[in-house]
Amino acid sequence: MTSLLSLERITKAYPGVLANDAVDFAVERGEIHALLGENGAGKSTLMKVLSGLTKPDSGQIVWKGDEIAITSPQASKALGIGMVHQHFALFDGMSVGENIALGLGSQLDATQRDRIIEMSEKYGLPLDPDALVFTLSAGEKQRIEIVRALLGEPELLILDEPTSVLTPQEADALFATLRLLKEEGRGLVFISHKLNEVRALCERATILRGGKVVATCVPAGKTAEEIAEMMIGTRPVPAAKGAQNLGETTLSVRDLVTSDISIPHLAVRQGEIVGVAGVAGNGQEALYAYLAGEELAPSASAVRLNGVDAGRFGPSERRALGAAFVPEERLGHAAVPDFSLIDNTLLSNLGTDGFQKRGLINWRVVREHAVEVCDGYDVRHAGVTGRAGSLSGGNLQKFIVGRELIKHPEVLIVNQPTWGVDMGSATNIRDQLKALAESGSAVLVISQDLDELFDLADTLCVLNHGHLSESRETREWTAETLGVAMTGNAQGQAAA
Amino acid sequence: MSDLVIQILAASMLLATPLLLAAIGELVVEKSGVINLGVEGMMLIGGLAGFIALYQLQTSTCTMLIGDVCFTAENSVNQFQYIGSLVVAALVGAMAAALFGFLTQYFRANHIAAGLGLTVLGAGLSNSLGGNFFGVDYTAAIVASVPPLFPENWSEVPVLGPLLFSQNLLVPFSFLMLVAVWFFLNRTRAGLVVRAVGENHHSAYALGYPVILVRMMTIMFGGAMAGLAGAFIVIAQIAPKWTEGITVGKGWLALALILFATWRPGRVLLGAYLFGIVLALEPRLKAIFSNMSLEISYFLTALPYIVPVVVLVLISRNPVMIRRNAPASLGQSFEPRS
Repeated sequence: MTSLLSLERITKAYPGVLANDAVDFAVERGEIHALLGENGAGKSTLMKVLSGLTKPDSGQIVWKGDEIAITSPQASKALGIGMVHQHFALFDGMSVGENIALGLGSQLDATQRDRIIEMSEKYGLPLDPDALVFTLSAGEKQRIEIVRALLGEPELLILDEPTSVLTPQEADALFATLRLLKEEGRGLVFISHKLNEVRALCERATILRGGKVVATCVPAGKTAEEIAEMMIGTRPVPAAKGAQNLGETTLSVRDLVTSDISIPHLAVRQGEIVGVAGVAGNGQEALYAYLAGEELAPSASAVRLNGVDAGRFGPSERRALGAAFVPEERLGHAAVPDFSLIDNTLLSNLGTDGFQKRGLINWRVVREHAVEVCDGYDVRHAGVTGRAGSLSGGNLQKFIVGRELIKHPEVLIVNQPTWGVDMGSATNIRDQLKALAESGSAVLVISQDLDELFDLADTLCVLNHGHLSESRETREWTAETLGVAMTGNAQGQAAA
Repeated sequence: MSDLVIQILAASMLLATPLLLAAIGELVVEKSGVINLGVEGMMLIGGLAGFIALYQLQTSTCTMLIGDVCFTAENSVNQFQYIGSLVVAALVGAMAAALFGFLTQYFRANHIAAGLGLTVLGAGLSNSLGGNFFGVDYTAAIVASVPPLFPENWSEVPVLGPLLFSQNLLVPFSFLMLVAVWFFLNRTRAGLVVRAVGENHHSAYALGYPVILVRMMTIMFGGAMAGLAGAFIVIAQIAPKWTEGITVGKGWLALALILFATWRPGRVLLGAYLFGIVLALEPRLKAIFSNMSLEISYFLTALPYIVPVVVLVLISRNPVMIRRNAPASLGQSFEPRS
């Protein structure tokens, strides 16, 4: 019997990178097939090929035994390929029903409404057709995507990191749905970073690394560590952290309690990297905002920077005290996408010496500085006059981190330093952060990536439901205790 | 007293109709995510084109023939000639809009710049062509007035007479279009696609909808409606007449109305008629209170521009409704992600 779908030697090159290099990939009927790989391993490109958004340079797509070409998103849909995107392709200002009707190429009428309700009941995906999308949670939005895909009666359903935005309960419900779909004989492609989910759910896994298939295996037969090793290439070194030679406390927070966050105590010493772990949406944004001065603390003494009560200071005043900040959102928060790298260099450096002369900007100095940042931090770019938005995620992040690091800040606060960044850039950024701490600065890293925190941090604390736990040395934590702290209730956490 | 009300309503129709026509067209354009600030320019070009067409189409009969030379001519226009000139106005408006469409959709020019350019172009072109188009100076051209749609004695019918039977063809047409546009946007599949394209062009593209094509169509529809709005101002009067800049900012008012009406057709109607009614009220109030102070008189003149804005802003404050109706991709150029 032929495979439902089989991709043979798919190759796709983008300028400067071979995104897919002779990739072979096959999905059977009644199978959940995991597609694994780091960011930039080529998963997205492969899925774009399948959904008709991009054409491969070479290679064959065989659908139910016939070689075909997928020329457009419509063609992909017509074949029977359904796609649930990681970044929802939804119309926020429209109702659930309208969104689904648009995906199906039909009119929203009573029959359609009945089908939506029927489908959502059958597969355990409760949805109100009249709800407006922008009022819904991420989990509900995902259900729209899934119902929309299912109403097209797909034989192959592709889910791109479907659990990254879900709560554990929502994820469990999703898995039940996916198993039901599998029983019906559909093929499913499950793209994920979460290896335990893959091991529990998927029959087979294809692992991509650097655009190539490195292995196809039965995930349940491997440990998460073995799979991770195949994905990353080298076994992650277990951390043995706990810094020596710590100096004075240069950043401290005491009794910062507001409506969205409660931090009894947090201290970062010279030479120390403090990590803040936590599941997304547990107050990371608020913590960052209070530390960076984007939100002012209720009292000046709640945040102390370099011995000064800075709680009521804005970002510029805090920068003047020797602090530097790297927010999570690269485009729009850390950098202005349509500004050049030179302009973006200036934005967080208005107070830097030499950038202004008698109130006018000294563009020559700023330009030299931007070049220095790019050269010093391995930012690959097409010229510093180019748009920041044209850089790849990894390069832009290196630029943003570099822009702050080049000032040798005494205190650095960084939120999700390597989120959505390729492996090479992530390693580079982490090395830079370690080097900064070694040179005697205090570094606070907020991250959802536990491996990253174990690698970087000397001291770890956990943010859960807006409550920051006590910090402990990293070596005292294990993945288990940390997992419990991240998911338990906040009060129990404080007691532990 | 009720006579006065009917008079004011009838007069307000004359004032509100061009606003309504232009705003309905531009509403569809904006719903598809395009902002075309060239409404004023398209109205001028379309209006002039309609006027030229009507001048060319009208039939002349000689009333005084001496030898072979006609000394005085009586111009007349029948309903078909009138409709023909309206079609020309709409087509020329759509062509002007298509220019904007090519620049913004295929060459991805900035919507604001291209729209302002279209307004400047429309004003300039209509001024020069109106002064001399194939040897005719249209600022001095005499065109017969448009024949009434219904038998003349019908206008004596109480209420319906002045409000419906003696009105220009475009008045009921504007209401018809309002309903049609509402129905199209909210009840048809094609309308849903237009809204989807305006809400999130990347998602619409990913679902397989032809974003650029949809926008070109709405842009040209908007242009056609602006052309009709211009034609209404120029030729739907007792004595049709072309003067430079005859639209006096009605296109801008239409643009503002859409914004304040938060892209809802019913509220565009409300805004347009508030404007029309208050404007129609002004000379009558001034006549009644003939000894009012100059300040109040100036204030009354400004009132038509203030009332609709204030009313619409007050009733359109619900953020959920705004989020639902405002096209999120408005004014953004679409470039497929590779």
